[in-house]
Amino acid sequence: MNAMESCAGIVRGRLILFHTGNAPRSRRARDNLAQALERLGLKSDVRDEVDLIVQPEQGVQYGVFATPALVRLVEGDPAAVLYGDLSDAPSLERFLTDAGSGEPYPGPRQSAPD
Amino acid sequence: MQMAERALEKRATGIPGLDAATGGGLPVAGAVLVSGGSGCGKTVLALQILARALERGDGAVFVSFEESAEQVRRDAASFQWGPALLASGRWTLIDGRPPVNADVAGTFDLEGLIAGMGASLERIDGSWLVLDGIDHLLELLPDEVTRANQIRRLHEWCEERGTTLLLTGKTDRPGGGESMHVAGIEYILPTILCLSAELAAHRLNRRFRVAKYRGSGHVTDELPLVMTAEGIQLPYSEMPAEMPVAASRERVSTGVARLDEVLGGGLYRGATTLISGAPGTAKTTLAASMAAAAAGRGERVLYLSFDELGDRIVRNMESVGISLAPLRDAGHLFVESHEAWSALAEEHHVQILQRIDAVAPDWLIIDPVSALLKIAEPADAHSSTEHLLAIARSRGVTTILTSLLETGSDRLEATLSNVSTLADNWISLSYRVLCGERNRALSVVKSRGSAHSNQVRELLLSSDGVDLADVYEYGSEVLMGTARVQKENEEAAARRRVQTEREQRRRDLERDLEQARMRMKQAESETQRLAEELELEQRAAAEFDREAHTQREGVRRQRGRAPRDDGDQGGRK
Repeated sequence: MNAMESCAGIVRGRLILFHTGNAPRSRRARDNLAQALERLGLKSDVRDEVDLIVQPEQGVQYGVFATPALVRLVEGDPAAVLYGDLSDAPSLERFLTDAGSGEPYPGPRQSAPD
Repeated sequence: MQMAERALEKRATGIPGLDAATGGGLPVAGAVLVSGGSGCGKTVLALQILARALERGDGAVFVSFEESAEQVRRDAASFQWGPALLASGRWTLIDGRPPVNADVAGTFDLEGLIAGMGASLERIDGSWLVLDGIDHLLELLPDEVTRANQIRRLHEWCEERGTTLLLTGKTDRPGGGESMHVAGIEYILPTILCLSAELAAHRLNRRFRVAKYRGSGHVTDELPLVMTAEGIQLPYSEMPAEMPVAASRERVSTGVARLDEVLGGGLYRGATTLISGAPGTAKTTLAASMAAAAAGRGERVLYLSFDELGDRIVRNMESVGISLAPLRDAGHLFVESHEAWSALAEEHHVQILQRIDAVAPDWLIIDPVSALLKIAEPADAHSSTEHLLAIARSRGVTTILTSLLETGSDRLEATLSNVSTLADNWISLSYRVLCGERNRALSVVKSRGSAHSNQVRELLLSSDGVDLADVYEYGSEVLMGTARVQKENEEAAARRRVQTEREQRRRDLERDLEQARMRMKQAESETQRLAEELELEQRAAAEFDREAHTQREGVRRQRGRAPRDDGDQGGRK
């Protein structure tokens, strides 16, 4: 089964959690995401974390400026973003189980003249 | 601590009017909120500040939370400074728009933004950061307290690293009403610039105001904001950069000799003269006469007409003997026409300043300035005139402003009153009705620094040009037109009569004198004759006396020799 496709037990697409190291919100976001996946019985074959303190340019490339932010990338679909420490469980669960729709994922959005 | 150490350090924006209004620019460290409704120029202002900063060698990061990067590029490209900005490698343009379907699940902050911006600024050694459309980011935050905390964090971060942060944000909602996302952070930040735009008479009026600038003196007035191909300008706040030229003592002719006499020898070079009058009182003709005289001397004259096409002015002036075409062709006279209604007063103001820069005139004529004042708000009209005259004075430009007087317009009258206060000279043109005739009259209401005549004189237009008639008083009136001509004829006849009488008297006296001289000559001749006759007679008498004496002596001697016979004395028998 393709990990990029939505199916029972597997989160659709690639998840990236943008955070700022060990800041309280960032820790809570990591914990809340892990708990939600476990609670829902979901797996994410492609799950990354980006610490913007360490890799600040990643936030610019992905257009993520508010943290923590959980981004889901599905080829052909718009990037879905959920801001916050993921403490709102219903919102997080909707996000993780959503099939997604809307404009195509724009990809990294930095635009420098040079 | 020394005062100098406490002074707020500023970074020039490169927009002269803005730097003037803010007393030198924006803080070198910390956030500045640029707030305003849609379409009032927030993004352009930020881009222009960056463009000027890059020209000075600074680096910058621009993050757009509202428009795409491509749209921002298009925005910039439409201005003269755009291509250089877009070609520069000293700035980074970032598309920071949140995804359309972004959602929120708990609290978050802008630490990721700070980390990203820090990296971007370091990469280009930037000192300017623009977060354009910050309201789009703030609306994701749950409440006002959170928004305020995050903005404070951004401000303090910029203060720590010495970055000037421009936060632009809308104060209105797309569907109408006020957006509280930006309003809620206004009390946090020490520097706030407010832009606004509203339709007035179907025309977009943009305004600028420094709402807050802690630690710095600043202009508190609301100022007109003009957006042209050169970008944003605050035309009335920018004061002349050059040192003003010294007050000239040189008199320059108006081209009307008798008017020069009335003014005590002409206008002072660099002075401002207001020519006011009702329609048809020859304001344009008098101004054109001055223009022709100046251009004829080889001076550069910029004639800006706001109610007539330049070619028509040139043509019409030929009928009164004022030939402008050769002066224009020779490059001494620039006659340009503008339609007052086609732009805002402040836009015309900017255009006039651009033409002054381009032409560098010795004379500036605005005909009529009332057309500009009429379309401006009274306060703006005052600022515009004051600023324009300050620029002209600082450059030693002799300025002529004509103004149409309209009855029943209190507002215009008040504005003109203000202009007349600013002007050094005020020439009033009017109609005088006398003996069933309407004639043009000229009087000098004021002329600073000059002993001038206060008499009303008739302004004469003929194929020989403009002239002033002599003053003929009749009781409390000054005669004009046919009455003046009749009076002139009477006086001329009287003068001729007196002259004839004098001539006759002179001739009579000369004749008498001649006769007297002739009589004197005759008398002298008679005197001479009598004197000569007297002398001759005296000589003859003397000769006679000598001869008689000699004879007597002879007789006596003869008698002395003859013998006496009787002892008797001779001669007696």
